[in-house]
Amino acid sequence: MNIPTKPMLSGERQDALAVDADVIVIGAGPAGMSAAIELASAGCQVIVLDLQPTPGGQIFRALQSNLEARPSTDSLLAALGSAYNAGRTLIQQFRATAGIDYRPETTVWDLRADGTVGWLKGEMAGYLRARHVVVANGAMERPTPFPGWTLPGVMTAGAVQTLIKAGRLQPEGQIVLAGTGPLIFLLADQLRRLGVRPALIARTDRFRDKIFALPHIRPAGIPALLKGLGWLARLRLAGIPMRSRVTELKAQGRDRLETVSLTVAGRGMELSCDLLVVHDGIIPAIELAHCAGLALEWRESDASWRPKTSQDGKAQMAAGPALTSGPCRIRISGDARQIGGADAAVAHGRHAAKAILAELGRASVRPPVGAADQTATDVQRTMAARPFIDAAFPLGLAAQLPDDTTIVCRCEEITAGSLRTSIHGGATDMNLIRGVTRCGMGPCQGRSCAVTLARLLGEAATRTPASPAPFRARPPLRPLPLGALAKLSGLDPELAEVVSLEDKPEAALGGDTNG
Amino acid sequence: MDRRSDDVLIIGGGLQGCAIAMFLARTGWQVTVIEKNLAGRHASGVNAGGLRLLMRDAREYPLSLRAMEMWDNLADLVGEATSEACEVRLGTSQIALAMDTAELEWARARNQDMLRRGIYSEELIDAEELHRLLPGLANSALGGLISRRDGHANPANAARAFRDAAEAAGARILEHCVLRELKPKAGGSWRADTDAGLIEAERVINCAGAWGADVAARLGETLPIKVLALTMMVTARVKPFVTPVVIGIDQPLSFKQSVVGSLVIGGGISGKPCLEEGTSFTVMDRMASSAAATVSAFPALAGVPILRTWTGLEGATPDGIPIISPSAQHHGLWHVFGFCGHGFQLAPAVGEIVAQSLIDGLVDPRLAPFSVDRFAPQPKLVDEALQ
Amino acid sequence: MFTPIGSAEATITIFLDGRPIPARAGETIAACLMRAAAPYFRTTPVTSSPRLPFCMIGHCFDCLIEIDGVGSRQACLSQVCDGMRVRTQEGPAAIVGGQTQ
Repeated sequence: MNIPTKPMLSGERQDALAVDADVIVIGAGPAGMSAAIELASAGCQVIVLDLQPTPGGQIFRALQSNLEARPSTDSLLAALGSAYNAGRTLIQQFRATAGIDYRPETTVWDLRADGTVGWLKGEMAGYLRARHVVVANGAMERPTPFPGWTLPGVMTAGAVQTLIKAGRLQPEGQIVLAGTGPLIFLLADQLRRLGVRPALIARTDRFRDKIFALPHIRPAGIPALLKGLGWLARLRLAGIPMRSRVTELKAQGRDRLETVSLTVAGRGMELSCDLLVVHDGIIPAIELAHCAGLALEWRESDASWRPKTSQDGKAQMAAGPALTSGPCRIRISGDARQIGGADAAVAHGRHAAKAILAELGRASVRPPVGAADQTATDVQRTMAARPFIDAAFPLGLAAQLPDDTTIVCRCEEITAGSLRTSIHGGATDMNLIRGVTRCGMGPCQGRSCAVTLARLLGEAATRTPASPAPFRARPPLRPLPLGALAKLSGLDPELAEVVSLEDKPEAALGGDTNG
Repeated sequence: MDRRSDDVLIIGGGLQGCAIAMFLARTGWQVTVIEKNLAGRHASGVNAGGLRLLMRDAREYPLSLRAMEMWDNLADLVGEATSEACEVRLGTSQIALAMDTAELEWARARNQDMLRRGIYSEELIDAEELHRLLPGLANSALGGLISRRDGHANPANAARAFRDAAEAAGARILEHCVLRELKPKAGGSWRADTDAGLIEAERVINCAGAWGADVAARLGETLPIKVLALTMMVTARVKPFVTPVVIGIDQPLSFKQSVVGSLVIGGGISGKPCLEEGTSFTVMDRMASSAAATVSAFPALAGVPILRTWTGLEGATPDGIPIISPSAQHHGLWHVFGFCGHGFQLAPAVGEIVAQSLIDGLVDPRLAPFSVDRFAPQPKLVDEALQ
Repeated sequence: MFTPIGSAEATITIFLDGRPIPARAGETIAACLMRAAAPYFRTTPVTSSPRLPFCMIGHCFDCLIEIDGVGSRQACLSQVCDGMRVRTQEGPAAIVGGQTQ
């Protein structure tokens, strides 16, 4: 790991506060890696902070170690297929590029619009500063509250993929996959290659959705479409039971999952089950952008927020007061900006990096005419399949808001019913409901319940709901041990000056203090 | 537009405003409370919830003692069910830690001074007693002061309880109602232009907390208030660890375990206040000292994670005690704000005593130390000049 | 629920509630304990309901567990170390060295 010095650009105003790097990239997935490579190759000092022990993000999770462990991982790599192995070159390039200060197993718990990033690694925590920050912290699976979703034995499709990639584990026993979206079919196909036969693939999507989606097909999106059709064809060929138009999913059991019940085209069925794998598409992880005071937009069609950005990822401040002053130094890239998958994330990471280089005056090798446009074109091309995918796989498990007995907040175990009671009692915003019910106060800090609560508020609204505001986000965004905070480094000298209450009474009012 | 005439208009729906409204309404006064946000949104609902006599300024003792009796019988005041939700825990005690010899010396001097004044609620305890009461306390702790009657409550629920009790008593509570203009009328009454229309009242009580000095300034009265955004940190839930509330003497330490098990850590450190916008920001750079004080007192907590923080806007006076006083300049105007981060416990007594003073037309002698007169001398009664 | 793909190559040992569990260097505690068929990692502080990992990427916090004496740690984000002592977390985290009971 190379320790970055304080890079100072000629002709640029010296920042009041020393910066630790030209650019801090948050996340070492496809977008973060490609941005870092592009920036460092042009001579920038780049710090990359990532939660995981090796680069790759969720899509290429543990790819490097799985490649190094060959041949014992041959069958694993074969099962994960080309979508996974495609990350190899990018990771190699990321590792080989000089000027990237890669800091794995690092949690980011604060982000400020002025380019300040709060980090935690082990028992150490601090702040780092850069001229630009690229937020590439990816996405999360859409929370899908349904009865029994907190039972042991219910997991997301992403979780099972992570166990395959990083745990080298495959599921066994009676397995049901339920939901919609490309990931569930990719996972089913990967399981098929591992010789795992799910008892049922319970699809919430309908054939009708595909017909309605057809007008959205763009020529550049056809390869992705063909890939999806390939998965489906192979699953059918393998004779894996598949039902569509599934509704009313329930997981049942005492201390763990025992049975799954669901309705297929109006008819109920129940089957015994060891592992229920659910998926309902992915949504941007907004917590960093939100904490930094950046503008978000609620997308009703996708029942999620995403940050407002320009095409090159430049974020804008939300209206209202802010902690820091000065220009916003943040760009958002990859799935954290807009769900598009790995190829789109790579293309956008590069595009955002180009824009930063231009701002830094660091486009050292003059790009050939049109090259700047090239990265923009790549972004468009790699996003081409999205309109079709979005239309073909509308909200499934989360389409209907949960009934009153279903848990919405997994941490504090708050049901939809108690949230509705609070809303009908006059609570008009998410912060108020959090204060009254504790929904969103647990360790996940609302990651699992925020979108559902926003929709419950919308359900009750008499007028057309405006863009709902998520829970107020304050640092720390992730649990920060007291011991680490006690030794916080990299403090902002101006901000750190403690302003405190001085209400300590006189020891001896009007008397002698020595007595 | 709505037009109404009240006995009293209270500006600010925090604990103090709602407590005063409750007592006045119960004696049959017609009361309106206007609150620009939601009742209890700032310092009232967002504080550590400490119910302490410990380390109080001696001038606050008469109020604080009365308030303690009232918290002890909260059900009589706000009803059984509501008081339950306030999670009042008295008798858990509060302890001020002396972590070095200077703090210990201060504690000794304080203790003797209190005894001399005939105040016996605080006791000096030695290291042995301290470690018996606080398992997990660092060996370096030397002793401290304890107030055994003290405890804590849930501030958000308590703020709501007083609001609801005031409303139940007949007070009109107008939330999301901004005061646009306030003017004394000829003949001694007041006229307020608000989001809810014109409100006329015989008297006005400025309970606007962090905004109290702004309200006073609009009437030409300068009161020295520093606005703070006091920050609290909340950890993940942990098993029962500490029963007493622990506070620092010189250290930025204030620490208790809530009913649900999370540790609530304060220490009087301000974030960034944005008074005009009615919001504030957590500044984590400043919270390091609070975390350091906590961990040095309780080393076993180093691994306990902070999950979230909150800030609440509060006004502080230069001498660390509130303003509870008739205006120096206007008839029929009271100022009740500037509680310096420790007004939560006082609220019921402030409500009762201010209400009684208004009813009697006489300022209760217990309020004498909180007069506006203690600040820069001001010209008296210039109502006529303003009209 | 989960079984190794190929050989587990578990060459180190961690302890779950005192019970030795073979682990592979580089894997997460969550993956290791899923292979070991742990019935749950923690129970919730509210209703004492058992939980296993749900998202495996650090969002859901259902995999909280006590690691080497420190409670409420995310098993899906923590790698195994030889000799590591992991404890199932029953309700809120315990603080080692200073309970009132």
